Amino acid sequence: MVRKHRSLVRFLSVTLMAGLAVLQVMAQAVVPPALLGSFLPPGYITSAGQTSDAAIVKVLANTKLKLGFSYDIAAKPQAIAGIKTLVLVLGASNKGLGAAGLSLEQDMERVKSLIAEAKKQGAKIIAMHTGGTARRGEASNHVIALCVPLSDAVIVVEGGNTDGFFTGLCEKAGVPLIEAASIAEAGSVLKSLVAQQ
Amino acid sequence: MRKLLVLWWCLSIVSLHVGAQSALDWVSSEVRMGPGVAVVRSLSDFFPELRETPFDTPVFVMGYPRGDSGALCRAAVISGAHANEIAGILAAYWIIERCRVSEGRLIVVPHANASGSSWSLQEAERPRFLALGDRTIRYGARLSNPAQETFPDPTSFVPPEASDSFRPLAGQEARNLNRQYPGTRDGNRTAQTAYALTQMLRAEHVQIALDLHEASLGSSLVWSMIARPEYLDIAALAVLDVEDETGVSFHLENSRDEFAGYSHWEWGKLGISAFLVETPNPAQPTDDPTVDQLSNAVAPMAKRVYVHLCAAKSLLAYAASNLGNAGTLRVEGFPSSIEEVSRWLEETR
Repeated sequence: MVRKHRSLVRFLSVTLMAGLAVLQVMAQAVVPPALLGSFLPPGYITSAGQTSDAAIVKVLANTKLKLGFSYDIAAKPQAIAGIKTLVLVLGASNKGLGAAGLSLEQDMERVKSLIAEAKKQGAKIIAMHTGGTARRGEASNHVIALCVPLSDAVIVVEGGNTDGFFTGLCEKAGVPLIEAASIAEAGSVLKSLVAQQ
Repeated sequence: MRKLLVLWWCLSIVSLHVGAQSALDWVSSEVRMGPGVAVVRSLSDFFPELRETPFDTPVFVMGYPRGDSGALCRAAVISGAHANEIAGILAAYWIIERCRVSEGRLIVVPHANASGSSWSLQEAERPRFLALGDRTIRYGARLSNPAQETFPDPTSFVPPEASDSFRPLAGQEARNLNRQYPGTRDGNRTAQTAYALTQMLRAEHVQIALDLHEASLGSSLVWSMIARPEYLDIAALAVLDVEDETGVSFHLENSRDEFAGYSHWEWGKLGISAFLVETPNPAQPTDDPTVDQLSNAVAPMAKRVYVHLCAAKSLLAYAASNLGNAGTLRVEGFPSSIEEVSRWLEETR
């Protein structure tokens, strides 16, 4: 009888600890349960607008969280053959566009063709914005307005949505929006969305 | 005999005056040399034409001071390229006073453009001063003092190694140290200072170099790190660490050929892992003297210095680690909180 109780206590403790751990990850960000683990590997990270924030998301996803996603800031459709999840890091950067030798319009064409390819092969799309409102100029808003309605989930670091720009777009398109308090938390959200293998 | 004595007295007064103008003197009265400093050199050791000019400035060597240090990593922290960007200068002072280098060599140049600290936008004859605890810190303007330059400003300025398609800058940018790299031997004094700093990096075989800056609150550069594409991953790792430690989310910028003359672009060309870090300065761009630099609500000095130091700690560690077997670097003594930096700023001897 005592042994039975001990087992029950042990089981409850483990469950409680696991629950607390999940709660800690999600202390700020609220992830709809249906989305947890709903994005499959292999994944691919690229930018929409050539923002260098894509490099931060790459390091976060791969070096820190060991997701093992492929990366090219200026990926073309043929690069994403066979992937199941496409991560678009949103933000227009004149310097980044210049470095890639692209105009904003050319990069938008690249992004449109990437999204079309991802949809064609049944891959899902996560849009991420880590740059904050202060750096979200008109060009970035253009990029965001293009990508958000075509995504399956949007992750935004809170400072980037103080004006409700993402909220409006997501509500209109019926796309789930997850706000994270920091870049690191945005990474935790990304990890929670990806099915563990 | 009497005439000779008068001449000697006059020369002494003149040399005292020149000495009082030299950063080699006034920096040593501001910074309290810590146990980690092995030797203090002057920038003119690397380019003698700067000797006894207002552009000469002290170079603090920490860790292995001279000779062959084997496979140990050599890094540099440079601040004060713009003499009004005080938080970077104070971060360099913290390293000089509080840090120890147990492996590798770290070179610290707190006032890269000492001439910039001899004047201000409000007063052409005098720098500005900031009271910290029982010491007074001198600071100045973004550009070199025009009265100390060898040539008048040109009508327009193109950095020394810019491409043919580079759009010329305003002539006064010839006195902007962070547009003059890698410098020229026969240019104006600002160009010679850039040349001396590049010579120093070469002579010391520096592998990692940080350039600490500030930007006005409205600038897109606030809270940003800039590096060439090959070093962007190192900067990205540092961004995540700094956010974790300070709550500040940095932005990354890609260095490219339009940054000709900038430290991160030109030093990177030499194979140096080079990074530029920007914190916000509430008094910029006019260097408004009515702004309280220390306790400004948006960007208090302690926070700016602390973030610079957290960024420096992470960038040095990740960049050294990226060198693999090419070197090791261990720097200890960085602050663990903003409060620790606040106490240091208010410290009395």
